[in-house]
Amino acid sequence: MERINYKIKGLNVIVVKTDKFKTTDFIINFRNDLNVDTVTKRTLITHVLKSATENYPSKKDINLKLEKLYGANLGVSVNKQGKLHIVSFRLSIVNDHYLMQNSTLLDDAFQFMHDIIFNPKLENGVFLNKVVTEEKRLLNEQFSALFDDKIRYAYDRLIEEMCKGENYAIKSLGRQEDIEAINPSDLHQTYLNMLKNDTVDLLVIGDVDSDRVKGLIEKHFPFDIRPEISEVVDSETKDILEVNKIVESKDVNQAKLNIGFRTYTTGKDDDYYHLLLMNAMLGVFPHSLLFKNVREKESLCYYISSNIDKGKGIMIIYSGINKNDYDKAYELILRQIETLQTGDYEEALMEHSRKALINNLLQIQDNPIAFLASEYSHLLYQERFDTKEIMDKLNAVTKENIQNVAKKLKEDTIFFLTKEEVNK
Amino acid sequence: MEKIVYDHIKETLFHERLDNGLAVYLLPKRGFNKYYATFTTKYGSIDNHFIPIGKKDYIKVPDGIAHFLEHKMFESEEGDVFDKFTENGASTNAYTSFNRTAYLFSCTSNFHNNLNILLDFVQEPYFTDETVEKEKNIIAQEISMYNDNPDWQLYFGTIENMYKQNGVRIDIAGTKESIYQITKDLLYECYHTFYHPSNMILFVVGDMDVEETIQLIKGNQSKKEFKPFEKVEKKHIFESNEVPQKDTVSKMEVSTPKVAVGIKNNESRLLGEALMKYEIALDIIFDFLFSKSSNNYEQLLDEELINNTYNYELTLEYSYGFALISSDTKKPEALKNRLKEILINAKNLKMSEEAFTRIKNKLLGASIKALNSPESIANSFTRYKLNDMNMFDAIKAYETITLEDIEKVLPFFDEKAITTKVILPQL
Repeated sequence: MERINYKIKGLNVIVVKTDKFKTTDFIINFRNDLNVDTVTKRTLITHVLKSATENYPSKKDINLKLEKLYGANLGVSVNKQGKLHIVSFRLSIVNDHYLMQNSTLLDDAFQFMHDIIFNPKLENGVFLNKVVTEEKRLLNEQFSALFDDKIRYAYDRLIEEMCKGENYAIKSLGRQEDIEAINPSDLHQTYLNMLKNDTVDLLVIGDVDSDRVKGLIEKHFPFDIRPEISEVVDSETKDILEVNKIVESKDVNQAKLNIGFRTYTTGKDDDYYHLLLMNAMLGVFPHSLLFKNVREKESLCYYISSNIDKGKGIMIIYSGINKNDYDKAYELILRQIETLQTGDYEEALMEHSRKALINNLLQIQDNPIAFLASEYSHLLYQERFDTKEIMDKLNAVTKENIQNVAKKLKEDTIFFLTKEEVNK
Repeated sequence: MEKIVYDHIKETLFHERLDNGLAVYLLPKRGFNKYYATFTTKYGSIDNHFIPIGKKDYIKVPDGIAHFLEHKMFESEEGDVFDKFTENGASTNAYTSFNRTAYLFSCTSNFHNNLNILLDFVQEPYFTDETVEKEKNIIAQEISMYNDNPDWQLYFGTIENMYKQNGVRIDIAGTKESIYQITKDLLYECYHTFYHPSNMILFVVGDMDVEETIQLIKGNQSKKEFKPFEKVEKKHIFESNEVPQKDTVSKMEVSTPKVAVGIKNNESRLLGEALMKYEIALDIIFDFLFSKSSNNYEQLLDEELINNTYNYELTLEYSYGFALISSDTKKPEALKNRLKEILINAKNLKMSEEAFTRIKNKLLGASIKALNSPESIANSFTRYKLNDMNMFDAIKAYETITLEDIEKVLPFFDEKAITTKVILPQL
């Protein structure tokens, strides 16, 4: 693998050259501060852009074009990382080597992406009203659907309650109540601002000719020079006086018990890799404490995991249990954290977790999209995605490091979704 | 060992059937860090009516037992199998579908150890009454979790509408009632019947030395003894395409109504090349009818009948087959009727040469892309093999399919094969 990094005016480019894959994949990411006034519009913009361009004026035309590119996949998504809101466009095409004809596939793909991002279909100088209206309806229904997946719903509700009043409480999709008021004209303005002010990164991976790619980028992705939006860590936090407990009643067969903690450690901190390993020991793998002790030993649940957010400094434990087991499960979960604080665990736990993280890390290199996503998430921290360096950092973590980072954890909020008692 | 070179996709596959009957496939992937292996038995949730090995009479076992067995295989006499893989830097998992159970690992180091662990844990069952009891509560939680998942309920509810007797109508995990009937002895009986090497496929992908790998596998297998293979006698239930339930409605804690329209395949007796052709032809038709470039998709959006949850899929296996189209919608009645109408009219479908070629190229591109992923290669290769097909030949088959082949499968679109399932919000 050969990695090339350069800037073309306002655009930062990373090209990874490898013949491992049968596809060429690329990602274009726009980042800016996560802001309640723009977030919903930015989400809507991604959908509007992939609905109609000057050359492909309807969804159908766009999808026909994708089919002609040998079933290329176009993906758009929005994400948040700490205090940043990230709008992503992805395209995956078959490498032309595997096709009998068509050596212009790569050129066609760049031209197409240019069209999607720079050349939306307009009327009276703004987005088509018909398209905006339809995408507003679809986004509205997407919000409604979030409620249907109760695991996801309970997870989102915990963050909402825990970070109430903080910027981070904003969802990456934005706010359902803001959709109604959006019109084509102010949406278009937000789009122009995004093109002008966002920090833009383009990442490419595949068996490509570097000069050919550079030529195509220069031709199709002109971005003026602009200041970089570089602060990813959201350091807004609060003092926890007492644990906040929220119980919500819904008609569910299985109760969801989620607990949020403040870690006071982010991706910018020296002890970040300590936290990463600690979290792996707690709740990422089948050998982790939560799975072993809450599921396997006590049969209290089917799923139980923990996640950390490196941009915000929080950790979330989420599980599905029988509602009558609340006390038992809650106590047992907290006891696993105590175990990490006191260091009263078998040595193998730490070694196994380290190995498992390294295994995952090495596997990322076999998946083009995962590879680019890792490159990007390190770039946000002004780092390179360097497997060797990360392995060294993980290997250097000591038992004491784990204890210290576990002691920093502070329980913030419990969210319990459960069925009301009907026949008391 | 047999070596098969697929020039058109730059892959080479190695194959050997061992003396004990195990089918082994090795696919070297130069430059990959990851090794990935699946060890699969032709035994899934629908296989609950069979003659146990060494016996004469058919027995019926409780629903969900194949999945239960999958969970319990992870326990060995020396403890937890997860730990052994973890010690060797591997991650492991398993899944049970309607017609197969697969055990797998992926790793980037200690490949040989991990391959031995995989072969050993799947071939050394160890159950106790106590651990079987404990597992029941965990699986009961798994069932509860799926009971709360409306998309899962919609999917299984539609299949339940379509089948009278075939086991495909019952959730893979069984029910809270059925799993409590499972015992240690029943698990052993199922195990010994279905986990014979002759009933299994091992598929390994990664940057390996092929000769070394096959020697390791042979060495591992030669140390174990298996009874001479008696063919598994299991009952397949073939049903006509007539659906027993045309229309069902249930209620759940959801925000928006959900609609699925299903269409059932007749008989589902095809295997091998015949199935491959049939499948590709139907794939092309479903793409033509329902993909995002179709007229129907555009119209359904215009009519505000569907949203981004819209989805369609086609499943064709031995003894069952169906297609499902689904979406959340504010207008469930209208969507139901429109989808039914599209399916019924499809029997008179005329596809242009242009559309046919375009869709063929798109599906061909998708099959080539899937070769990026060791997981998808191993799992789909095995799925094809269980139906007597070769995945790499399927890529070639796209080139030979014609518009006449498309016309031949149009009887699939039969009104009596259609069912609808609606989930409405409570209150």
